[in-house]
Amino acid sequence: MSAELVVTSGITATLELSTPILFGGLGGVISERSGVLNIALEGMLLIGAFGYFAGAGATGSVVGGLALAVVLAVLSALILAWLAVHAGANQVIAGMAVNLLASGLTDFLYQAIYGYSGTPPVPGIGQLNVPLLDRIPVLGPSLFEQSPLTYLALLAVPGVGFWLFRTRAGLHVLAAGERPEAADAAGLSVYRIRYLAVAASGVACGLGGAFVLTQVDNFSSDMTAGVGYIALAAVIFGNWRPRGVLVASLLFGAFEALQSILQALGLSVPYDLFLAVPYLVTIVAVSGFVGRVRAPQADGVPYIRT
Amino acid sequence: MQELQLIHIDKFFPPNTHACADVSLTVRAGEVVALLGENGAGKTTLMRIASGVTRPDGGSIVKDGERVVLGSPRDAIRRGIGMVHQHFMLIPRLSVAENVVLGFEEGGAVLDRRAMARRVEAFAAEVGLAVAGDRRVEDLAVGEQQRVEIVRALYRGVEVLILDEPTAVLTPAETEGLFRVVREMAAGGKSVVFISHKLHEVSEVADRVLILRNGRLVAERPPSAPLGELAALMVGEPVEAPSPSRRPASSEPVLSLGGARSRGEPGLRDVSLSVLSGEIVGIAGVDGNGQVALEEALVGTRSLEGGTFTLAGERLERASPAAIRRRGLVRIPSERHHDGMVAQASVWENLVLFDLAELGFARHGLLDVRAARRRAEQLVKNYDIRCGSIDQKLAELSGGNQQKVIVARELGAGPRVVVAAQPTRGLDVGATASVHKALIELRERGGAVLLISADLDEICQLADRVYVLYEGRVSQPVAPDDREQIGRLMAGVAA
Ligand SMILES: Nc1ncnc2c1ncn2[C@@H]1O[C@H](COP(=O)(O)OP(=O)(O)OP(=O)(O)O)[C@@H](O)[C@H]1O
Ligand SMILES: [Mg+2]
Repeated sequence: MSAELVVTSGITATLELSTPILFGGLGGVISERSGVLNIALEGMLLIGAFGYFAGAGATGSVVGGLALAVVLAVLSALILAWLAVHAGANQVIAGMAVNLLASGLTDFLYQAIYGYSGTPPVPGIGQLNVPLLDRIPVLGPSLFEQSPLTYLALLAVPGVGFWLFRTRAGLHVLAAGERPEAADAAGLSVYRIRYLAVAASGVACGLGGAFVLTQVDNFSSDMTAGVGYIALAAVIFGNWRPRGVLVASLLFGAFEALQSILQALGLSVPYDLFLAVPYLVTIVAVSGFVGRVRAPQADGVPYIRT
Repeated sequence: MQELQLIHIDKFFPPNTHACADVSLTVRAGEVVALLGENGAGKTTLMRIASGVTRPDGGSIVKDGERVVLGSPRDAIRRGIGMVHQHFMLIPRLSVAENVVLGFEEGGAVLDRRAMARRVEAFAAEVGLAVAGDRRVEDLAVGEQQRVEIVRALYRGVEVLILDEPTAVLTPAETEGLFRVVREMAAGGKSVVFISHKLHEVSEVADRVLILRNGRLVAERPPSAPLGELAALMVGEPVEAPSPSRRPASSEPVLSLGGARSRGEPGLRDVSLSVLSGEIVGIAGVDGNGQVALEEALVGTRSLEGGTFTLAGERLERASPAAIRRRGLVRIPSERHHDGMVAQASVWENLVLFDLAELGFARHGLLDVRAARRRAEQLVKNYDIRCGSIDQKLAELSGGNQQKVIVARELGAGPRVVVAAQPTRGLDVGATASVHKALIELRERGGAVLLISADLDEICQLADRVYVLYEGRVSQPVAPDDREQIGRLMAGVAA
């Protein structure tokens, strides 16, 4: 393999592998900033993947796929929101419940719907070549010939950042996640804010899941394979900031890409080692290596009005 | 002409707490009404009802002649009623301006933070309270946070301002500043309800004094009423301040620090002090001069960077908090919610929280619940803790009774040394007297007490010797009756 090809495919693979982590991570940031710990990213991504598969398969269109991915992921997010916000359940357990539900339900539906009839062809989403920029040697083909969803995820980083830290709605989300009783005393509806924030994380996971599916064009059992947990790690590593999540996603994506390139080059590095990287990096980050990460104060704490 | 009337207000907390029983009162425009009462008398509950936080079980609220139903704090704010809570309702990670405008932001969906900070600063200056709009609330001292709370209430157009024990954490100068604001508000036609346990403050600032006892309004007095009379009305019987008999202590130090240094803002800087057995030593000083560092260094949760720490002849610089406690040093923490209790656990569990094994309530890791509960019942009686039952959650007790639970647990453990940090903050006169009595008794039995307090009266009344803490350093010991010298040292004026 030529050096140029190694760099090009390395960057391409990094962006591809980072995209679902980024979507999940942004969803996680929004939800946790409002005070709902979101362990359910994994399940919501999986449901998003299934949604795209079923939607695109049935309608034969990308839009149909994306729509169903987002709708189903938001529905699963609302289950989490109901458990965590309304019922005041333990949010770790509520999140795990959604994950288990997602895993079982997608499997079941896949079998029930396609078990006999076979799977329909699923329209892919293709890639978007940014005109002119894609002509740049090396960087062009790697950076500017990506899935539209990848660009969307990258654009969402400043978007979510602006929304969270520069707008009135964002301020309300931060208040609900830091000190819900104070937000309540200021006349904000903590319940409403948290419901909406969790639903927004559903939108992000729906898109992330759709991306995962378009990489392979067929659904398989538990196909997100832990990306949601890595996204959770990216939220922590990124200090609950969209830009931090971007850095973390790229870093985690790069290590995974490195692994596959090393394999292609014939070097044998234990695969498991790279799988463990996101978690190792997160442990380092959380133990205070990279500055001070600090969770929203009320992250994971149900709010019950007295 | 605004006026707030509470009519036949009733609030019952199951199983058996009648927090407000048929309370009726009127707050007129331009007056400052003080609300007095023992810990647990129902002051906070009554005012939470008036500010829409808590729903009453019965009775009605009339604002400006119109009957209103307050379903939320926002409803109350819309009617011009705002409350500064006993425990602040600020969001530490947000800026001052964000906290002030939260829920009442002006302009479109996008915030202009700089304009917001300027607007809040300008408003604050107008009402005579200086705040820095873009500083984070978590970086502010308590006095400043208090100002932010008041600015916020005023910013929302509050006509009736309820202040729940606003001076408990303020320095004398800050308190003076607060009173100026209160008087100005009243002069401007607004009304203030002022809750405090410090009787002299009440007579200084109020136009009328209302007294609650066991959820009932029992008396109204002019502020000129003798303090002793007010205290007796609150408690229902005359209160006697314990008078310490100053007898010479032994000469061996139980507790000593030598050149101790620690981290912190400020940390300890070369602190040397000693406490003899049978002695109460006061640490005077304005809050924020290293009191927290001192407290934490002594209980072992903040490690010393240098110097010595000796307890009963044993060097303990490197000892764990558990080891220090086992050697007989207990603490009444200044951050009681954080360091002193498990709010969601029951009263009895909190009363036996530490030293389970030492007190014989746990054998082989198993809890002897019956014995522990008996012990708790006894402490509740001895320390006059007002609670429905020992199974109640500690969080449901009034602020003062929560503190009594901590004091009972710590002093009930039969300690050799007590580090008492702001032990009577927020306590009523009766409870304050009982804590003081307990500390004095410990001294009589030969125990040692290090009393860290921002309340100079308390220090001068109890201590045998006083050190003044200023910017992390302690002075030479001073006699407790030399108030002038203590005041100079507290202000950092070299003697
Ligand atoms: N949420 C609650 N559940 C049960 N009991 C409660 C609750 N809130 C208050 N109480 C009880 O109501 C009584 C009155 O409490 P309140 O906080 O109004 O007293 P307070 O006069 O403000 O006392 P303090 O001076 O100690 O602040 C207390 O006995 C308290 O234990
Ligand atoms: Mg109170």
